[in-house]
Amino acid sequence: MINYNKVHHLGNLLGLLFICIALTVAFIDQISAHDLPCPLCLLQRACFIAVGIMLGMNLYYGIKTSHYGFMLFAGFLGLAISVRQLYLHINFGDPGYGDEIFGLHFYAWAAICFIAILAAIASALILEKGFISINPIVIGWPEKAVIIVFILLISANLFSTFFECGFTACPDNPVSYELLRS
Amino acid sequence: MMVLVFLLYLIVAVQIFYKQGKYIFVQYAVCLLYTLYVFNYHSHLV
Repeated sequence: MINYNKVHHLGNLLGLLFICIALTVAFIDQISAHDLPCPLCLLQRACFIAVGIMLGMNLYYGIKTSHYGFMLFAGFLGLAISVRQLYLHINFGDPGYGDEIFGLHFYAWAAICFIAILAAIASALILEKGFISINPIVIGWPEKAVIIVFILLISANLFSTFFECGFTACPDNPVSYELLRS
Repeated sequence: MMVLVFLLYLIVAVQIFYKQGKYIFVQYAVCLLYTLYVFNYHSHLV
């Protein structure tokens, strides 16, 4: 018999791993290609982090509908931000903002990812038997490793944003790190 | 301004690993609302 609680647990772990990979890809592109993130790009990263926090809560404190509810809010907000950025660049001849990956800009991929996240949450809510936990929550090394990497990625984004924008509002089209400019 | 978004999320994320605060959902909701506010401020930019 399928243990739905374990299915939820595995899904949340893979989800958090996916969020970590998405944040890492964006960060590697920022560092290696010197492709500074725009304000909306940073907000999309923040929404990925918001989804990841609730995935982590599911892993550490058990599967709860409230966690999925907050995840939905974060997913919708991220989708709204990425679709807004898509609309800003939908004109003919507009080259878009930033680099492309597999033929699409990062914000287009972000919109696709947020739609996938919302679909995954809807699927998870269908498996309602998984909300009843028979066994106590076991936090193994994969969960700990992923959450540590996730916290490190948040810290990395915090420091890069600090160097890029300082304590004020981020520039419209950033070309250099505000605090590293001599 | 944007730094505060990531700082608030970091505070909530660290609580998952160490010790869950009593008002973690309220803190998380504040983070989301602040993100929404910053989105409103920056929504016309690239």
